Amino acid sequence: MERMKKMFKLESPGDKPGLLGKTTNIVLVGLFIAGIFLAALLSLGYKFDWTVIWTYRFKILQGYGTTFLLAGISIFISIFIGIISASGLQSRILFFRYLARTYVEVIRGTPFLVQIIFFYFIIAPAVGLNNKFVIGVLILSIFTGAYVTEIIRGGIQSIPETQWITSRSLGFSPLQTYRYIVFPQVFRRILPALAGQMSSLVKDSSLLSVIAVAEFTKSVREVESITYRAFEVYTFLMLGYLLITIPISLLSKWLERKYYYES
Amino acid sequence: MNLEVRNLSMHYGEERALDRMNLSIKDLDSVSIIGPSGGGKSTLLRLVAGLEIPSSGEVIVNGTPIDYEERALREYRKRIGLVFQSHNLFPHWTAIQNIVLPLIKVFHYEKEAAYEAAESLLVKFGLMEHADKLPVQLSGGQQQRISIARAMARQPEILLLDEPTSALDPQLTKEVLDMLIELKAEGTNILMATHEMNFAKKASEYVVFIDGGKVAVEGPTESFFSINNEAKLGEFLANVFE
Repeated sequence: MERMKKMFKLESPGDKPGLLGKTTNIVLVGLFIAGIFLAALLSLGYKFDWTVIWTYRFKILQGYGTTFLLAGISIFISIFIGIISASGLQSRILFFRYLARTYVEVIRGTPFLVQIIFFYFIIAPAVGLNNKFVIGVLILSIFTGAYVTEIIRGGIQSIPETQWITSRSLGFSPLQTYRYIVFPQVFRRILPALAGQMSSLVKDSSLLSVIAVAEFTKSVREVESITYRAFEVYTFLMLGYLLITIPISLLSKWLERKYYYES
Repeated sequence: MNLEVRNLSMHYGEERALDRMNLSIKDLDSVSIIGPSGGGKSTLLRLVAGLEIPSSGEVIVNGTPIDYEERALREYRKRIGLVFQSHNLFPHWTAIQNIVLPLIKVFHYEKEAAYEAAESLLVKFGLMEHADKLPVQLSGGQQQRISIARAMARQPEILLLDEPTSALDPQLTKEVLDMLIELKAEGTNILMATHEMNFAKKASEYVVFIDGGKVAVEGPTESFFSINNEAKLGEFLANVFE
């Protein structure tokens, strides 16, 4: 009886659940959610037709691939932008400093949807850009770059003052200090936050469907508009995103544990 | 070492951390700087270490005035070993990497030569078993001893220590002080700000009492601790030994 109880309730919140308890409860949660959905569907008298996904598999897969590519490229560009802009924030040249500050504030202070529309209808035509994929990558990178900037800035500021002084006293140049002492530590410290931001990037990419970038959400919505099978395709859409974001989340947790060396 | 401090002032806004300080140390191996917190000990050490630029005045180390221009300072710092109160070691490097990497990156040692130099220091001070540990795996005393070993790896003209034991308990303090006594016996030039009066008595030839940004009392160790006539010093020592 006591063992049964332990499977469902921990002695204190800090305890670790056993494998059996963990598995049982995860299954229960799954059944609970599935139950709610089934109840909702039964009350609607809905009949599933999962074949639509198979029928339009190429279209959907193409969208999925585009999302993958879009997010993959944007991850690199946004980190690059973040490094440049975070350096700008630390710069002694005030113009760069305020430029970086303005960039971060404007991007973080406005809705992503508004930025997409603004960029697509005003900036892109002005500079003669008309490849939607490229526009999508740019918007997503510029948007995420502002958040990456803040993550990097926080990381740099988390390096205690004594380390900067010690490094200087040892004769390291400012560039060497960044390269050997600050960045390696900042990188390890911000990896979990950065991974979280990348997971956001994947999800945010779905908004690019409003400017008709042929990514996952857009292609699934098209299938819906042809087949009227909203439930099936949107369930599939959600699972598709989870398939990318859950591994990133696990990776982030693993990184957190791996680099837990500082007290 | 020879250390000449002339009319040295350091202002932080309104605050005068050093106020036209004068000090002359000639041909001495080991000097202790004592005095109340905020009296100017650390500021003096940071200026001697070439970490900050004085508001006015000059510092002459072994006959050469410190050129307080950033590029020149970077060269100058290579001649000095410096150890702070705590958190000297870089947490992402092992003990031996903390010693080796400055040698390679700043002094352009070959990798093998740097490791050889670091290992011989670690062996000498009985720290070899800790070579591959990260700072977080070491006790405060071990961290400080490795910091001192790192400072010694560059064979500094002066080893500057800013209250190296004030974050440690008595047992660990002894560990660190024993190492410094050993270094002093070998002829290392030590300039140390400290609250450890016993160490000042035992291991330094000269004691400087700094208060209010000035040298208040100074003298050879024996006579320094016997005069005790200055009211301020009397009070300070009474508090220290309480």
